[in-house]
Amino acid sequence: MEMLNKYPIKSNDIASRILDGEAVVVLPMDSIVYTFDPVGTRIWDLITGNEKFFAIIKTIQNEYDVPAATAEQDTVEFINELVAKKMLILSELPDDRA
Amino acid sequence: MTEHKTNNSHNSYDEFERQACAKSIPVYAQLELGYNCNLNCVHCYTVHNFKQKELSTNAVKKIIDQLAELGTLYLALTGGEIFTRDDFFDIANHARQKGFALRLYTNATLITPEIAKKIYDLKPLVVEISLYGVTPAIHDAITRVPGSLFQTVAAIRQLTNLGINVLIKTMVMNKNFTEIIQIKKFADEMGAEFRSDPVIMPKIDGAKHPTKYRINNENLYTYFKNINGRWKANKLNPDSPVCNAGKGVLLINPYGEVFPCVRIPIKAGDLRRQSLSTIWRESSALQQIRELTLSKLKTCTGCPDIDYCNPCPGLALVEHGDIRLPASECCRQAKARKVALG
Repeated sequence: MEMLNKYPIKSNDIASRILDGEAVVVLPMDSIVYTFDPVGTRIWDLITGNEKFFAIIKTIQNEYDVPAATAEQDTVEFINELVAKKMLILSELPDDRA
Repeated sequence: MTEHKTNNSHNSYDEFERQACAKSIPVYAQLELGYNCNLNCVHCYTVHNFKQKELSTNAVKKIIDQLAELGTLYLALTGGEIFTRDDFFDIANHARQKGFALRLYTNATLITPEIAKKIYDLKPLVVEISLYGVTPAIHDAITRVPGSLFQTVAAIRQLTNLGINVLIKTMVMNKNFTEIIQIKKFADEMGAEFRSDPVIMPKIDGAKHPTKYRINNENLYTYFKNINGRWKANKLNPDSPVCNAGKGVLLINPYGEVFPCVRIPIKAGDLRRQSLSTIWRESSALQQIRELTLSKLKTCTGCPDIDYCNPCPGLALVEHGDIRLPASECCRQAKARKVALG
């Protein structure tokens, strides 16, 4: 998939923290607070702006004891959900802020 | 992934804050950038201490860095009037880079089109604007600056036109009680949120003269009955914490002094001499507030109005010199709320 060669980059608009091991993200325009489960938090942590989508999937496949296809599907779904919610963009280039 | 909506359902946000309190993470901090203000509101609680120097840009940025390390997510930048500081956007942009959700407290009178654009670029969660009336005869009489209503309303229009979230906040007083409903209507027309509050605080040095603007019992009843009936009976248990001050919430004043919240004038530490994490972990003042549960309040546990009360240790301290005694204003409000909503 072409998108796996892209760089997930966190939006400039969000506010976020890792609180007690849980990622918490606030979207300023709708004020919703999202909290991520441990796997979601790990993926969020891996989104540095310098890692390609497929590299993040690889890391998740290596770190979690689940079939590779499951890890890939879950990571793709999660990142796509974040893109849909405008927490991330997928960029051809790495984040120049990183 | 789970989500809590904060803009309409405060219960969900309250749950998020409650969880943070249980973990002793100060998710919400108020940072007072200075007490300078171009208005002179009759009920203002701040007291400018001319013997102390307000923090420099770099000192404020270092405090913001410490708040980020401690886990603070929501940062309210307040004053005084925040736009009287020339370095405001330098500070605010630093806070955004550190991942904070910003709430800006302002009277909005200094917001020009250029400043409105800079606010838009900042992407704050919300701009909270004080509005006390819809006519100059009321609003300007409270701010004691002629023309201030015109400037504030113009700024509200500019911000809402840019799609910036605006919250109009009104202190409910005997001087503006007749216009509260019109203010709410104006907020609706502007697409802004509206919040009103009838708790007029004494000044932070204990001076009581702002409290003469509190509404009387009859209007308090009307207010709860017809204007702001949002209340869920507390059903507090004896071991419930009285409030979130010093647990999920903290305040830093323009001199770098730390307090449990804006209403509790007990100094927990001084950031000019100590780190924030040391203060947060070791302050006996914060510990004292954290340990305050309903059962430790001297007369509140058996009170028939307790389900309708927001006991405030800060008001109690100013009134009695003891955070465990009931503040008469809390009792008065609880009684009115119970009659109106019970």
